[in-house]
Amino acid sequence: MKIDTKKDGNSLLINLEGRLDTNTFQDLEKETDNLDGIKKITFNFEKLDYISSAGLRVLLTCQKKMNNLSGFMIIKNVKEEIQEVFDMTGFSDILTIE
Amino acid sequence: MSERSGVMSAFKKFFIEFKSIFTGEDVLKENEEHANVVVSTIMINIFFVALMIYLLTIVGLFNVNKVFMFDATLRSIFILLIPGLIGLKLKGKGKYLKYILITCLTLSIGSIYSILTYTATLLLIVPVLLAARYYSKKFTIFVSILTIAMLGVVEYMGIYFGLLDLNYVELPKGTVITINTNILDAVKELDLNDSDIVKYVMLNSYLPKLFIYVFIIAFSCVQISQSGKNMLKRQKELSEEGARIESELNLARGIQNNMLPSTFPAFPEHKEIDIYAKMIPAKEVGGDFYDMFLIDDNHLAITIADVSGKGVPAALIMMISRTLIKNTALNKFSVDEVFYKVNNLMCEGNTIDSFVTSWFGILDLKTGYMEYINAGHNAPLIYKNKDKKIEFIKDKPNLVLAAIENTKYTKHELKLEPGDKLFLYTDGVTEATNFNKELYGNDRLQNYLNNNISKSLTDTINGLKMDIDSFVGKEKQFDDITMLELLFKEYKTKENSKEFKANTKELNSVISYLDDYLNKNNISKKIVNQLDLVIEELFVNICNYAYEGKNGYFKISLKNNDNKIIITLEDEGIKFNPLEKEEPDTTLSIEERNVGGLGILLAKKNLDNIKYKREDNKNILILEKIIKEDK
Repeated sequence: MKIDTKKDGNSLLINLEGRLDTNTFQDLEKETDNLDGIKKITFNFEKLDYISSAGLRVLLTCQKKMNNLSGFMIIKNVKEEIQEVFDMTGFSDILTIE
Repeated sequence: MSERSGVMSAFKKFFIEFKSIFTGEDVLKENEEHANVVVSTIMINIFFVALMIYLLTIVGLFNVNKVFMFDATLRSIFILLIPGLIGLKLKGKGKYLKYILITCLTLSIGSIYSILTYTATLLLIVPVLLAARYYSKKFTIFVSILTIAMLGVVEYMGIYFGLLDLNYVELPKGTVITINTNILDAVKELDLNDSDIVKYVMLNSYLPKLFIYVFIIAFSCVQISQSGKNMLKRQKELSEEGARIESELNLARGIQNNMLPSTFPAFPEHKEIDIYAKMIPAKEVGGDFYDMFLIDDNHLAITIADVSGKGVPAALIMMISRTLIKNTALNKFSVDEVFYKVNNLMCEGNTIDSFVTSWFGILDLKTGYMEYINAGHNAPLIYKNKDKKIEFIKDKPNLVLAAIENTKYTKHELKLEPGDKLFLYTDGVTEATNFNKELYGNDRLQNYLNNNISKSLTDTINGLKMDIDSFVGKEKQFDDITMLELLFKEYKTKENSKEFKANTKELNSVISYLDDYLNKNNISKKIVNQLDLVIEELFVNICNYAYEGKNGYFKISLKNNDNKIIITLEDEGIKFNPLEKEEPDTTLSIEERNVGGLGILLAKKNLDNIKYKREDNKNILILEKIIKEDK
């Protein structure tokens, strides 16, 4: 998985490419470990093909952090396969998906 | 509903029949009614005979006292015609009908006899002959006595009213007789008085007739009635017995038919082969059988056999041999070993000198090689798709089964390639005989198969049966006809399975192994994605829980079963059924949310079926994913 992070003031844009799974979730975990001063995180899933429960875990942790920081987290350009996973797990209700 | 009423009426019938075995009543009653009809008919016939005699008398062809004959005919209307018609109208039913009929008949014969004295002698035996038809000794004796009494009276009356009969009267030589009508008139000028004539007639005519009647006719009729009754009862018993045996034979046939595999396709999960078979017994139960069963996932066994003899004994031997062959083969012995063992077991218990001809083969579905034994059986035919030719498999058969102990059987081998067919049959096919005593024979069989090679197995076998039927025509099928055809469609592909270390570092290898297989099988990208997710979740789960951190064993097996992908996951870790894990609540708010259990949930949601079993200290998960909808 490729992670491309762009920081602009208090906004963070994370472009993901490939598979977010058991083997790669830790990379994303590192990227989102320290979110001090961040008010808005945008995940661009345009090139993300696959997500497993390990990936969901990172997204959940990140969302909780943002809630604690009174910030926003948005997921953009979600592919159908991934949207299905969000739907199956009820994640579509707790994430902001655009 | 109809079945129920059928059962009820069968019960009712059974009870009536059951009762009659002991009483014999209904048969005799039925017979009595029938006899009444016969008697009524004969009475009407006699009336017409009497009427005819009267008419002939009128025209002068017959020399009888016209007045008396008219009188007798008139009486016949009341004692023959009317009772006869009543008897027919009642269809012979009525408790005392037989007494009324026979009494009337006897009286009418008496009345005719008194006029036609010697001409009507033959009529005397009619009542007792008909009485015998009732198969009742008592009734026959009753009628005999009645007739004898009647005869005495009419002989006497005949002297006065009857046709002139001087055979019994001794006359001096040179006596001139003037014929008028009756004896007394004719002989009134003679030196004889009334009582002498009566004496002569009674002694010379009545007495001999009485003796003949009592000791020959009546005696015979009583015997006939008695043996008739016995026969009727015996016949009844036999038909009951026959019905019982027939129903038992039908039952046996049902058992036998149910024993032979008759659901086709027999192995729907094995698309490598197609097989069809049929047995048509000649009698109610036959001695032929076929069988087909899987020894393991890669080996198919087929049997065809013919037990010598027919009927129940042959069927019993058939069931024994079928069971022995199957059980021995399932123990994974080779074909020659199977027959060696089965033969010895059958020789041991064979007290009726039956033997079994059989052809038995085990096909390796992966290689197409088939090992087989021929124990005195008809040579099967093999169709080689490559050569487009169907030929008999000619090799020297071994001895039949159940003949001699310790017989060694020679293992032969043949090779089936995709498209090849194997046709097995029993001699009921080749020895089907038409009215010219010609056999159906090997050539007709080979030709038929050759000309119909492109047909489906079912059509081939059913068509062959029809061909045999039309050859045989109206001749009876004297032997069981059994046919089995096997089509080898393709080699069984090796099972796709691979072992991995149960470590999440192996995940990529596992997934690429899976994806390779799925892509080779042209599975859509969407399903590949879903199955990736399933396998990742379950694999990671095993890595994390099964071995408590140690690198254990993990095996993934893949199968493409036409409309679904079947994936089996095995590990040797601690007993763990992920399906028992509580499902997470996907409706909770974000703060309450925990990620545990989401993996299993995703696996379940992306599969059509998931099963867990614990076997040989292994956790086994069987996953099914439908890849195309059934038609």
